Amino acid sequence: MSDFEKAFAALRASTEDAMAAVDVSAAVMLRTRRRRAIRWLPLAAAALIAMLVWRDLALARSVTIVAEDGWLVTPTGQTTLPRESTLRGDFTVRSNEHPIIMRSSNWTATLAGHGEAAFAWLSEDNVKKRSAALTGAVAVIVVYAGVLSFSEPGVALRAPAAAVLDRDGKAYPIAASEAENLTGGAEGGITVRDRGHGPFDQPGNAAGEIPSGGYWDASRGAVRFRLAGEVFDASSGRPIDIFEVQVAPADRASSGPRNHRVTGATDGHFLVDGISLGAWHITVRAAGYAPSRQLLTLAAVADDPYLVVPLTSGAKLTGTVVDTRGEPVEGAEIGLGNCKASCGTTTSDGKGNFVLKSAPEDTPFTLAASHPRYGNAMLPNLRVAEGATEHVHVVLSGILKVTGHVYRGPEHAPVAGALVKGGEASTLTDDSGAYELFVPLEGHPVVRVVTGTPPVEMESYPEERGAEPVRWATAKTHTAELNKDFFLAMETGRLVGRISEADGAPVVGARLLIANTMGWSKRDHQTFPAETTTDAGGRYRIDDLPAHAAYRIRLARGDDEQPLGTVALDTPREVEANFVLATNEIHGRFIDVHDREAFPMVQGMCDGIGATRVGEDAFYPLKCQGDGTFEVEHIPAGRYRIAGIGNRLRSLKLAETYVDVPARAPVEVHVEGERLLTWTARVTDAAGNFVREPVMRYEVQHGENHRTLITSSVSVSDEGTTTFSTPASLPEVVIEASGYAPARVQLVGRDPKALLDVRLAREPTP
Amino acid sequence: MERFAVLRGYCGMTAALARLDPMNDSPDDDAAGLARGEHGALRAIIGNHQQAVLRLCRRYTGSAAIAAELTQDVFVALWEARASYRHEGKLGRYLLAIARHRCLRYLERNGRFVALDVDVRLAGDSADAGAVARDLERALAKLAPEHADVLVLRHLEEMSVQEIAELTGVPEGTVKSRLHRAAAELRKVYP
Repeated sequence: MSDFEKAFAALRASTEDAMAAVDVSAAVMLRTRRRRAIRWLPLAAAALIAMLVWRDLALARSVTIVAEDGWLVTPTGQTTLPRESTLRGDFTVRSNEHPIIMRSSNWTATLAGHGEAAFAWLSEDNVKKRSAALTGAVAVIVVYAGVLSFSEPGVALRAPAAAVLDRDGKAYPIAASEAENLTGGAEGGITVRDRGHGPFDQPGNAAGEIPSGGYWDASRGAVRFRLAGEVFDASSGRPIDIFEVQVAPADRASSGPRNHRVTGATDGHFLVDGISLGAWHITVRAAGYAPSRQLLTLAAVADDPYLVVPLTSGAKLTGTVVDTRGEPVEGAEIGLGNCKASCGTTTSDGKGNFVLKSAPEDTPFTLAASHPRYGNAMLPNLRVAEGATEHVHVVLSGILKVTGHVYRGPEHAPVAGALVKGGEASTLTDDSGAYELFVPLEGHPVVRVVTGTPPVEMESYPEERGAEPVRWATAKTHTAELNKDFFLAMETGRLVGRISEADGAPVVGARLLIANTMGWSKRDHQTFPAETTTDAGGRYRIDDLPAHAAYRIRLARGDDEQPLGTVALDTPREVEANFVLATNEIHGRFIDVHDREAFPMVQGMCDGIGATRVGEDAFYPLKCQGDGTFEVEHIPAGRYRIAGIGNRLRSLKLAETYVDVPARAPVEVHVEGERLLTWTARVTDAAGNFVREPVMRYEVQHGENHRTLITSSVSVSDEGTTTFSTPASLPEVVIEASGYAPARVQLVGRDPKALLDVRLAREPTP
Repeated sequence: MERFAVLRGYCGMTAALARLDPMNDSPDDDAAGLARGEHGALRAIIGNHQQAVLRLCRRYTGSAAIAAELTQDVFVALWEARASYRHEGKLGRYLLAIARHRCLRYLERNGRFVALDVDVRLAGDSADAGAVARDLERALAKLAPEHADVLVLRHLEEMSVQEIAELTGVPEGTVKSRLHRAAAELRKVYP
């Protein structure tokens, strides 16, 4: 038998006969049938009061009754109330599903929800003699169940039943001699309710006789409860000695002590006295523990509330939120990254301060802060020890105002109604194609424009991302400005060429399959011709191919497919690419210029290297292996240049290498370059805020005066770290992000395996 | 016999006890009288079934007072629904379904209490068992109502998965996965 099974068996046994002594029939009968005694009791009581205190019973007063399915209760039974009727004198009504509305000359009352109310009429004059506070009530009302509410302001009631409660929870004794007045507030409205448990006129218990539970408090003329409970450490089970119990009403009808502080050696036990019927929030706080809040509903005098309060050590995170100028930000929403709604958020106060109680204990988490006017911030890798409190400083990113136009075609026609998106913000261009967008200034904000059917999407994609022209602004509405125009010109080029067998014979009627390999997606096109067929001369022609892109061409004959090569359509022009179906091969090896050892080419880089037959446009891709070797296959004989394709060369620092490929004989070649080192960095600002979308940048010197700027956006992992590759000899890189001053990071002498800690300083605001 | 076996399952009783099981439809159940609005019929039905409903509610809520409260509601609900209730010899099951529904609704709104009376009642028993039962009540109190639901039905009411599926109206597979998750949750909070 497992521990669980034992525990369940014990609990099962202990609860098997736990309720044997309980019989609910009487209560159910009371609630489902008017019991003779109960029906008569209020009327008798009312009559007694009336006869003892006043001689004159004013029975002539009438009440208009509006009822959907109400009952008129009489000593001999009950009859259905008509939809609208007038009743005089004393009466008892019952409401079923629908409320009964009762209108007198000076008050209106609604009896709702399975309620029963008995009315006994008194002379208004006589009532006034009794109490100056009474302004117009003329009925003695006893409510057995349901809710009775009065809508007239200032209405006072005589309430002889303990079951009658006002909205402050005041209860009134049932004995006529203890009759009290009940007065509505200035705004009007008294709610009288009974909890459906019949009268509870128990004799009062002397304090101490009952450790907890409900009792009749004669001095207040109301039911009160003593709430007992115990507070203990959830992990050790040991009682907590110093704690505070706060009792707060969860609805308007509840009243009692608002605060109850328990300190000293209590062995974890507490007793709070004087709580009325109703719903309560019981909050227990102890130093070093997360507060515990429970809802306690005291519905019947028989309730014996005993609260078991396990407290868990709470972690707490406090912090200050400031804007890019260092001014405190009020109203920033702070929560846990990815878990805002369910984990709870908090808001910074006028001094930018906040307290986040939902921080997980002893577990790394990301703090996310946002403000629509001041931007966002994320702090990854925070950790608060169990029961501890940490303080963080949060600098919001600021807001970037992006303005510009969206144009189409070479004539720059404005595009109206194009969707422009940045971060979570979006807007539509107006008739002049203009837009204005406010996006959080995080890393390098990417703005996209989407237009047309099917949608064409284009990203702001500055050539040099590090040089994005973000300007600091002096305006109060935003931190920085960026102007970005989109030109949705559909620039296309054409590919022509000839496919021939190794002996020069044309390849006729073969299908050519076109696939994009790099450079154009999300620019200004969605589709391109996917295939074509060679003619009788082995020639082909593909129009309307998006420019600024490279395409891989494959040859399909029957079920056979074979790669031909890749063509770069770097500008919108006609490119000729001829292919010869040959079986020649190049076998090569990348050699590091410093240590003369072979080094493996990073796969992404390998895709950007090709072998081009001198005098032609098409290039044949390299297949790079992990040991630093590579192959180029299925190529005709001739002289080849091995180099990076287009811009890719810049990040490779490879020596252009020429090789002669003889017919039917593999050739070996060494390509010199520099081994790439992969670095891992954590990029944060001075406050420890995690910088999104940082950019890595360095320059490479080629020969005497040729320098190439290499930039690469750096992706950020969940742990907040980023990786990037550099040539082994590179002395330093520049890490930067919009809104931050660039940081130079020395690489010489550093171990690539060690984490680079990069701190970016905010650019000074003008 | 088949039906009795099922009903017996609902009650979580042994075969010997099944004869006395108030969850079985008692021959005293006067559904026709109930439908006619006769209070005598209601009183008899309460007498026959209230212990099972009370016990179920006690196990759900952890409080005898709340259980009494909810049990009253169950029978008042039966009374109010007397016109539409169709007697198919499954009154006990019908009441249990109402009771479960009311208890879950209560737990969602108010959470669960751990009653002190577990200790008191087990005073004659071994002290260990009392502590164990109380620990379990505390642990159950920390669970989400839907998790406590299946654990109460399976391990305290001792229903089979099939019976739970019938009572709750969800597929058996769902009951099993809920049980699995609930046990995992319980393991996290049980000392």
